[in-house]
Amino acid sequence: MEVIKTKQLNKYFKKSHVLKDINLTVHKGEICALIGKNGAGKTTLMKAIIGLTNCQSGAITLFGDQEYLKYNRLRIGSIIETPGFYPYLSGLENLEYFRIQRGILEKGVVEESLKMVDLYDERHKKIGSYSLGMKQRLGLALALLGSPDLLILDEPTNGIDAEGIVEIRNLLVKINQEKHITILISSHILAELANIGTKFCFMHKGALIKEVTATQLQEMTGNRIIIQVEEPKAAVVSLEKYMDFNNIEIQPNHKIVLKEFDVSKNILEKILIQHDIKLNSFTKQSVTLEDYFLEFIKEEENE
Amino acid sequence: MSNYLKSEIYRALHTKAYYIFFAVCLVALIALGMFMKFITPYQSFAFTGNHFLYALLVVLVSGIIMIFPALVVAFTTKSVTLQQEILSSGIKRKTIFFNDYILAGLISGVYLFILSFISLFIAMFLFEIDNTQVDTSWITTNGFIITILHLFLAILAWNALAVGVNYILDNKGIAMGIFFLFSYIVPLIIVQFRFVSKVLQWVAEIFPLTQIFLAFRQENNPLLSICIIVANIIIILTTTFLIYKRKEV
Repeated sequence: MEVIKTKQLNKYFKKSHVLKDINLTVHKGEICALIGKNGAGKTTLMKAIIGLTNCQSGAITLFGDQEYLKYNRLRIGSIIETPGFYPYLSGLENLEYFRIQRGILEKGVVEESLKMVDLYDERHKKIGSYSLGMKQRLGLALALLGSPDLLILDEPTNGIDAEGIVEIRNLLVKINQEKHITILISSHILAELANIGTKFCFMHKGALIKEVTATQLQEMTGNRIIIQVEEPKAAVVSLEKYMDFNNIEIQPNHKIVLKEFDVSKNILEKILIQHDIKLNSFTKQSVTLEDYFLEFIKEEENE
Repeated sequence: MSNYLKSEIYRALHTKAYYIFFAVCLVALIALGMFMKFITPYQSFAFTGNHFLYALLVVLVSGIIMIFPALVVAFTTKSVTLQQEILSSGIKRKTIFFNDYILAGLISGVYLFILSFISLFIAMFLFEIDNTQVDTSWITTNGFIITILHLFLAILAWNALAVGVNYILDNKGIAMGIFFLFSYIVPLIIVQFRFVSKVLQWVAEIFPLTQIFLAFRQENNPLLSICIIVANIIIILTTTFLIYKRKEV
């Protein structure tokens, strides 16, 4: 089922075109990572889906039903930028306030959410005394209130320490797998997104420029070896015995890229010499999602 | 009652500042009563509870009541991030704006009702009420109640201005500045010129503050002045909401 589907979504803010023909589809159970620089339009797109901002043209369909958009939005839990709370109320009181507001009858959900984000022991402390990380975790507890079917999280790990980031990551994966909650997430910590995302959408200057699955991303990132030989085609034939053909890419200037292949220079040299091929250069590279993104954006800007 | 208003009442009941402010008002009220009781033997005239109510109204109108809308703005209106959080729960901006205004009125109303009731009690308990001595400076029990009613309506108008301006500007400091300018300073300046021109007198009488003073001095037609203040409330609420609605949160 298509949990989120946007069609030709356009938004103008004053004179700038902040969302350009966005066609985004997120299926049930996916963890879709929105990746882009500041001002790329990630937050605006998320706000548009939640209903916090209006678009001048285009359509949003939630849970495969365009007609009841308003009601379907109630099935979304979200964190947009920094979550807003009353500083003079405690964490428990803040969540209780939102529980009443959302018409959730079960009182136990508040404590359950607090336990889920590991804030139960701090529940009586005033929000004013919470650290940024604690506020983010409380924001996540709020997003989880009322068992949503879709989570929209804009920078949920903002201000959280390394340990907290791992906890949040594990929690998101857990709720995605156990409760089948679909997640649309953005973060500047791309390594975190690479760890949890099942789909990656790249945004640049208000446009959705590329969508890749986790498998596709894995092919484009990870460890790779770049070699330079006299006869690339012959080298590919000789290497096919040792690795998957799909992971070999011939590039200009007699270069060959070997993806997901870890081997030392000496062993590779020996393999090639058996086929009378001389190895001119050998470089090991580790391409992360961040590298891929930066390279991709650079190419986009050059075009 | 909407879920939003229920949640706001829950929040108000858990906000300590309201209790602290109420305690301060109560202590001030009792202190004023005790002080007046203390000076009674030194007065050359028969001192009654009407003097206490008169003194209390002066304090309420010129002092404590000015704080009500400020308190309401500080604790009722919400930051942009909070508004976003609430809007993402499917609640409309109209609901936030008008329910916040209703809650502000409710809080002010509860304060005013309890404080007025305690004032009357103190006046009767510490002194003797003598409603036969009707004079501009000798306020009767009925006069006190009518003025308090005017005061409540004026507070509703002031709350509308304070809540509306704060939602438009999202800046409590500037909102309070504009609130004081239009609630107190402008009417007080215009009222100085009321004897110069009949037109200026009419302009002065549009303001809720002037209506309270007229009620205080028993120089008004209560029905007309209530209509004027209600018209103020409707105009302020409608205008500020229409501006707020156009604003991107």
